[in-house]
Amino acid sequence: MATMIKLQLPSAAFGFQSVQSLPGLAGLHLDTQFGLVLIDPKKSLYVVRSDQPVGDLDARRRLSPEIIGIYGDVRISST
Amino acid sequence: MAAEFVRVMVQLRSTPALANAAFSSFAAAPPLRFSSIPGVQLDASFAPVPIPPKLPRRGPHNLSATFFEAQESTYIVRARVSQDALPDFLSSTERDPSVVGVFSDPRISAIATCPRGPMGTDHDVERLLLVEELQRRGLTGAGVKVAIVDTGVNLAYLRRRGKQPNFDAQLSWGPNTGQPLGDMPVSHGTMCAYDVCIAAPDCTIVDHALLTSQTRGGSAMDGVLSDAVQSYAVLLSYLTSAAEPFAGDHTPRTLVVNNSWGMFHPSWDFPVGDSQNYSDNPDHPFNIIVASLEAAGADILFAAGNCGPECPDSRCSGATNAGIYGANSSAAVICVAGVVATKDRVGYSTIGPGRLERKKPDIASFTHFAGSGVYAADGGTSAATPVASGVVAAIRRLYPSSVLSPAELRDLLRETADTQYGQFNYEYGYGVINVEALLERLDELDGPPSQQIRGRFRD
Repeated sequence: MATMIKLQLPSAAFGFQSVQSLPGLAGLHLDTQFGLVLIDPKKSLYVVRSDQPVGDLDARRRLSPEIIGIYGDVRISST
Repeated sequence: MAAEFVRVMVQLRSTPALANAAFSSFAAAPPLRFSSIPGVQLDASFAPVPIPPKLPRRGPHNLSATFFEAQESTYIVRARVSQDALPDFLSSTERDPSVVGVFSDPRISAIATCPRGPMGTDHDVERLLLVEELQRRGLTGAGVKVAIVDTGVNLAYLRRRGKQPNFDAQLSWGPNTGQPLGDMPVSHGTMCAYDVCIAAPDCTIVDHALLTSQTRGGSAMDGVLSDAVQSYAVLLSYLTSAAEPFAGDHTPRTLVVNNSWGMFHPSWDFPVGDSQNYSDNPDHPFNIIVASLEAAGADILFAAGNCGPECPDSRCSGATNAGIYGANSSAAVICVAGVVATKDRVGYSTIGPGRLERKKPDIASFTHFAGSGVYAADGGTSAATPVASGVVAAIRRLYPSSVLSPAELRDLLRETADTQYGQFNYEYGYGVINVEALLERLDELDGPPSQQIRGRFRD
């Protein structure tokens, strides 16, 4: 299962390339087609997607406090 | 969790006052000793029911087996007793010489329907939704965008089947480059679009072909939540972009979002309690963006799911009492259960509670009818949801989100629903969608809508 990584960014000017450069995301391949997606304009929350295991989340968050958490990219199906 | 109240029937010895009250409201009868206990609510609307005396049983040769008198006549009254008051109530009634016994008054339920074929047609659904009256009032969905977040829509097919919605290609989206949005293979999404057009024939379809990811999911009609996040981000961007008033564009904009999909089994997810979990986690990115889209003015409808206990979908893999997962149970959405044209619940309609918001589903809507022709029956809570979405889109023609917020419209739908068993329950929610009552409430807002054109849509 892929992973969605939730971030809180200081401004909309903080683009995908800036996110890719975050020390806390070093070594992770982020899905460029997915990009950086705004999910909550009021709280400046965004997500990126990775197909790789994130590993030690706490260590990554210490390096980059912008990283809020990781979440499952759950399968869905028509009802 | 135990119910806050217990419903009871109390059998009382006959008195002239009870006999008198049997033919009128019990409020006319003298008060009963136990009804003065705090926490005990006698149902004054329930006239006492006479229970005829039990006659002596005859033994062999038609002779009385024993000597005994016929039992006296009694009456049944009904009450609700709070859990806290129950011990005092039982103690009091045990000492009360007028009380013969106290019995449980359990809720009963119709047996759900597991249809083998279609039950009725879309014309029956039109009649049930008062589509003729909606159209007479100008409530056709004209100018209202309805995003079908599904497998893709085929407009040519809809037109061959007599539906003529408009199409917004610019706002449409798919996860794969170059998808022929609006001209997608005929399947589930086209059925949903057809069913929206039952009540909102003049709406504008927005095709979000979410369930077409070819590298993810388990089957052709599957997808993943991250694609849903992208889909919603496109819609959120539309709703929050600056208005162009000279082009007749105003904010807040109106948008109806139909979602006939969901998660079917806990094994598709991280465990509850794990920070990565989706089903029970309001912090999951998709649950967050659903709330953001609603806050921006969208009416978001989600299917309750097809894991009802009586005839669940095979993808439920036996998990038929797990409730309604994730965004399908968000407080920010209208969660739709399924009933057939007779208003009986379909046995596959998932029973609540919701995992995010407990009181789900919100309403029930019509499904399992011969309609689009995509399948033998437009079925599942998949069809029930766009039927309800169509009603919402029809209403939005004259009551946009600037006049009636998504939260207010959700409240109206719940308050006007045709309740089953007199109250909210986890099978039907607040009840079956009731267009007649909905229109009456809208009329009360400030006069008949046909006399006040409040919509600001370009046709």
